[in-house]
Amino acid sequence: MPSQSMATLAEQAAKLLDFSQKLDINLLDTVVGAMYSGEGPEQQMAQQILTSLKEHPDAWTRVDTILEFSSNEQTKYYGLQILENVIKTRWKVLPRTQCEGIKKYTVGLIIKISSEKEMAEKEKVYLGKLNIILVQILKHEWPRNWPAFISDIVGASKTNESLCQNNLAILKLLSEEVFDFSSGQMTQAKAKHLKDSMCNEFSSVFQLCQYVMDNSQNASLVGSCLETLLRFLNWIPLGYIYETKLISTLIYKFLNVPMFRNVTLKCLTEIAGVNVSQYDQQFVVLFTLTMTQLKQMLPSTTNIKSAYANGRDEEQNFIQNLSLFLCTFFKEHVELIEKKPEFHEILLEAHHYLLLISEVEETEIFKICLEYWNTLSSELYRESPFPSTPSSPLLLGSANNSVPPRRQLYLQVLSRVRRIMISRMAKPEEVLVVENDQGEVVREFMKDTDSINMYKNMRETLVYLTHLDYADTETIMTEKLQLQVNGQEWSWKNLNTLCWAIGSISGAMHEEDEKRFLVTVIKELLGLCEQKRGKDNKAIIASNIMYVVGQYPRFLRAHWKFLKTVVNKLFEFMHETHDGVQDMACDTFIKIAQKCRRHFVQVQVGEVMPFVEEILNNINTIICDLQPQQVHTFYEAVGYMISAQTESMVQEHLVEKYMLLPNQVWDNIIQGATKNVDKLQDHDVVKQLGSILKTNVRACKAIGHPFVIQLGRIYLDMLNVYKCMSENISGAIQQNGVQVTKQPVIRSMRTVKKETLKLISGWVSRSNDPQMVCENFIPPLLEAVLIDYRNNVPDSREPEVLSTMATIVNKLEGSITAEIPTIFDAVFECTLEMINKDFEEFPEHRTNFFLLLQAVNNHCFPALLKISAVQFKLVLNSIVWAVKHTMRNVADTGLSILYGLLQNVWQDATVAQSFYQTYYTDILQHVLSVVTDTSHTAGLTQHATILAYMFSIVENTKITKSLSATQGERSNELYIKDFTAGLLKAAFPHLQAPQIKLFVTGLFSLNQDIPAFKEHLRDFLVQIKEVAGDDTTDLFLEEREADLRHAEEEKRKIQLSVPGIINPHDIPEEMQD
Amino acid sequence: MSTEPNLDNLAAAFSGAVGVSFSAESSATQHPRMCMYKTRESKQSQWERRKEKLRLQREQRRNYADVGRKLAEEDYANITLSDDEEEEETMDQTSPTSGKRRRSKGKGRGKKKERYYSNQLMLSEWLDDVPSDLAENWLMVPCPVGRRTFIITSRGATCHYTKSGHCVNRFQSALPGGSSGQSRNQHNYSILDCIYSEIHRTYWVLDCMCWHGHPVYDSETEFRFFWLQSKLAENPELATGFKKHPMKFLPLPAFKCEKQVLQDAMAKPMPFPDELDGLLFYHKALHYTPGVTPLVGWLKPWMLPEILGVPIPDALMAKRPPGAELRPPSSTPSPAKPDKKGQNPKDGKGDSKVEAMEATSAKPDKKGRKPRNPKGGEGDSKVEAMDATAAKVDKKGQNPKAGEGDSKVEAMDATAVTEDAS
Repeated sequence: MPSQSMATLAEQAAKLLDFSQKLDINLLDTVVGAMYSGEGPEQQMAQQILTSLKEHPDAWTRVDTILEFSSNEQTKYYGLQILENVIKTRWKVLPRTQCEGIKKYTVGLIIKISSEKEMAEKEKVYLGKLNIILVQILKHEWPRNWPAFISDIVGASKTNESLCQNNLAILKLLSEEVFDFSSGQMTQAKAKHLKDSMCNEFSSVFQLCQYVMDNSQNASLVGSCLETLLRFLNWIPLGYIYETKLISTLIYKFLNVPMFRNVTLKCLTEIAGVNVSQYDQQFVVLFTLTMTQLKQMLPSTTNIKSAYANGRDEEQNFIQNLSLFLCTFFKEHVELIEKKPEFHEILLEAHHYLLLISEVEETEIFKICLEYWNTLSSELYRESPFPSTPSSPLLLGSANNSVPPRRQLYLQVLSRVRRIMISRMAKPEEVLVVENDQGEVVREFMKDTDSINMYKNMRETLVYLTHLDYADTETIMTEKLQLQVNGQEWSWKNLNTLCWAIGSISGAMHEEDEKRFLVTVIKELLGLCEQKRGKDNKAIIASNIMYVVGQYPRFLRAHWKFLKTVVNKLFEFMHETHDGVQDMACDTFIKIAQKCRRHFVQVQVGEVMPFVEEILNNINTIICDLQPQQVHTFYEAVGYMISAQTESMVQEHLVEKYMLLPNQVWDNIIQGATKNVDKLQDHDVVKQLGSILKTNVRACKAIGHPFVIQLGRIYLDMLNVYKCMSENISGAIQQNGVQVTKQPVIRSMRTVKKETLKLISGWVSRSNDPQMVCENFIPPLLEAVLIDYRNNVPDSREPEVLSTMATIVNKLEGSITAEIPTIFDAVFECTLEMINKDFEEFPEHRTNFFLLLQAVNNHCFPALLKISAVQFKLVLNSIVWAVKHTMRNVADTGLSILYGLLQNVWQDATVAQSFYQTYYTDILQHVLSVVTDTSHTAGLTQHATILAYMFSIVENTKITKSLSATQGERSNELYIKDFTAGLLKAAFPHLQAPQIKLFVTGLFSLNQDIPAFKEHLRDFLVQIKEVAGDDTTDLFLEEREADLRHAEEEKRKIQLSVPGIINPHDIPEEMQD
Repeated sequence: MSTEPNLDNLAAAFSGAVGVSFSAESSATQHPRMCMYKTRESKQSQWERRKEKLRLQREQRRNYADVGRKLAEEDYANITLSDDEEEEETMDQTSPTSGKRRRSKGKGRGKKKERYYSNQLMLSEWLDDVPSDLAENWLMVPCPVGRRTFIITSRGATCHYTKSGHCVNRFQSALPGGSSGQSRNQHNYSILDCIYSEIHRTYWVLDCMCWHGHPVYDSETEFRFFWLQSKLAENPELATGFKKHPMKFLPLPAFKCEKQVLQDAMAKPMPFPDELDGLLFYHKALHYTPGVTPLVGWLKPWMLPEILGVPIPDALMAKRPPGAELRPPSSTPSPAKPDKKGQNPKDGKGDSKVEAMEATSAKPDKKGRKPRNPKGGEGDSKVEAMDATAAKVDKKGQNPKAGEGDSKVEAMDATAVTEDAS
């Protein structure tokens, strides 16, 4: 069956595409139907037919038939898509009569539908699409070919309310197209022209709006009018807003009408957001009138939190809009209100509303309020960064006098803000448990989630607030803690929130105050822990205690005995079996170890040895119940302590003792493997190796360069193990194919390889003796790892080899230059082989390969000059290859290498000449092809930078040799201009010569101004999307040319001001003495 | 550091109050006689709890064998994770640091499963109150340094779980049910309590809960140990690692707790190459009961001379951490107030009767127990008349408070308890 219907479908397609026949509208309806409701191959077929019909150059001639005769909504919509397409891309090449025809037809259709209220309502979607098409036409026609458009539409509006409503919608769309979304859709000159036209003709539009607002009784018309006005407010000349009765109309007539209040409030917010100084009085009026109305609509006793929770969408939006209005107004104009005492009451009322809104349980609204509270508290703090509560009792009497007046005004408000911050404090960190590629479950600390940003902002705000009055902060926190203890507010969530808040203000109080406060807090929490029953409760409370304690390293550092108690308790928790407690203990331990590290390596009063020694003595017992990854964390933590030991002999001794346990296991395995290398195929052994290496990685991370003593101990064995693992993997792949890499034992072997590389790159990046690294660690590494990399099958090559090399080059810089040829020999070609077939395979190798190239180019450029010409060409080709990627990171790396390379070459006069001769035009051609490819628009800034640079260097006479054998007498500059124009002409035959000429001119005159250069490229990208025909008028080429001439003069002026930058022969005579 | 008494008190309170699931006596914490702060006062003394546990063991049997079988069969649905604790409040929030959302790709082997395997091991308390019947009714097992492990073999694999239920490894072993070559019969499973020595890739088997489908949870320690020794002996291939089964399983020896036996055991080299971590003391009549129990005691080797009066070789004594001091046992069973009293036990009156406990390490012969001062008469020999015979008279357990010295009372009662138990 399907095959039959498919066959008929194919037949039908031919009929539809045959433009000599009359369009069979029923047939089209069937195909459209198949496209929307069919499935499988049939649907695909239908889609294909419709696409090819749409792309047919004459398709638009069918549109009128389709719209007139089809009764199917979807078919009509399809017809409109064809129309939109032709208007966007081929308008210029259509005969004028056809343009007029389409224009008239569209306008007629819109008028017909929109004149009747019921019809306009019923065909809403269809009408919306028609409006969009009209606006597309307008972008070509208005104002030149259709100068009377605005007056036409305004005039027509007065005849019929329904029509008027739609016309307002069209004006709104036009405003959006021109002012909000013009970038990248229109050339700059054109957008400017349209904006000017709109501003010039705005008065009649404004009158229309005012007329509607004053006279209409039709609610939906008034609604549309306000919506349209809202779009206008961000660009219309300010006089319309502040010198008319617009503000009072909005407030008195519409703000208190429920159906208009949201859009009205949005308009008022737009108005409040304008930052100009000549309308101060109007801003004051705006605020006071709005507040007066508001108090009637929403009594200040309302519980906004619950009103929001139970409200309808429309009411919820109102709350949000209100918060936006208040915050926007305060941000721009609050000082106008503050400086007049008679308005203080109303100002505080407004803040009262904002406080109520801040309690609403909706993150987006809270963010709006938070931003304001943050600004307010930071301003108040910066104005006078001293606490308002006097620290000396002598000042007690004059307490209030010492408070700066502005702060005095907000005292009550600030206290309430404190309470809100404390009761809503966000979660400080996000821990995710994920499984990595090697199948291991790991914990990751998220860095950039929404909730972490929220925490940062809230913390900052609360810290300012604490500075402003720490006693109040303390009182509120203590009070809230009491409510936990007495059960009134007890819940896990509340306790967590409170403890996050307590932890967030660490360091904001004076040390003595902080200590007193903390002792109280801890005592209360301890009491709570004893009072509550059940492991879950106790675990939560214990975690919170540990969180708070961990947040206050200054306190811990000052009280050794307490610190020791905490750490011993954490060790106890490391044996806990209750869910999450061990993780909590390890996380807190590492936090404390980092912040208090020195205290663990000193002998404290009352102790016989540094505490780290005690830890190392008992390390077996302490970690015996931890999971492997917790053990790794533990090791890192102790590593931080050891890193604080400055006496290198003592430190070495500590490192030895510290690594004793993993080293014993390691030695055993190595001994076993020496006797029988097959041991290294035993999965358990491989897993042990992976775990030991991970311990080393974490230890090295903490200890840094001094870890050299341990690394040296295992280095050669480790490289041998690496080779052995690698050979095993390679062998397995050759025997059983790539799928073998999914086997657990192979995955574990890869872990060993990866961890080895991680350890080496981790250490090198922390090392401080490049010479020593180069002499002792690099040669064996190159021999073991690189040779192995080259000899392996591609699937068993680790991308980390490349990133490790990149890290090494970045760290050792010039010291490793001599080794670059060896590195390249081993990794360059074989990796390139893997990635030059397409743009997707081996993505990690790809990324890392180019990062390595970048590192070499940045730090070891002389090495690139020493490699053979063939290899250099390969390098350059691979850079170009990178640039062509659509993978963002790869393309970005490629572009930055290219830019770096061009600059490096420029530094070296001897190489530069032949380099440009050989590669300049090649590179230019490739870059231009990428720029004009729309899938690369994301890299536009970098493209602009490189092109600007390339064009500016040919202007300069520093390139002494001709860039091409065929350029004859032409200068390099002229030759490149012609060359570029030729390239573009060939690539985009639909462009006109003047367009191309102007573009090329701009490439030169704007090449000192990257943003302008970028906009210039963007304009060109807009142009290549359109078939321009002969009519280039709306590109405003003349205006553009004038702009460019102006830019050229400016550039010259700047160059003239720098002595020597212009060739003496080019300097105007009058300037020479 | 006494400049800030306020903070010392805070540290003391901290040390005492913060805890989750351990009873304060678990040997995962510090030895009660070594704590910086003597604040953990449990409601009952150790000997009282021993008595209570033995009574409970007779009265209410929790069917641990059944749980073990279900774990082996991975029949989680039918395992009820009950706690002996009171009803817990439940709320849908997590702690500040452990707040985790599990977003694991692939199969959902989540935290859930770990819950079932956690808390399956029988754990010790510090041996603080030395039982008066130590010599007769307890067994000592020396433990190498290593990781405590819950081993389950079933369905052709051997699984290694940590105390908290995390599966660290799955491998093939010669244990019944532990390798794929064996019968996959659902009754072919074993459950062991081991100490894993990573360096030597050896599991030192402490205890046996189930062997080849035969549960012995409800058997007394003495029998379980015998069973374990004989089963391991029947399977000599467990003692030698080879390619297919690289992990070794070896039994740990158990010694009687007569003083001479202990002394000899300590003097001889240990049966394992690892360092000696400590000694576990099992009550002979104890069934295998997961969780911390006062009927299993733990001592570090260097504590032996002071706590049990058993001399040990200098090499072992040298492992004593510098500065580690054992305070004399506190003899007041009544809870002291953590903040004020009892931090320095020396201020207590009856406290110096340290050696009171020595009765337990006295000669094993039943009749003539003579209290001896282990320190050879140095110091105050207020060694009480700890005469077990005196205690025996007291069989009915009349209120011991009637006695004179506190420590005496305690010792007498301890004996009475064990008499009751046996």
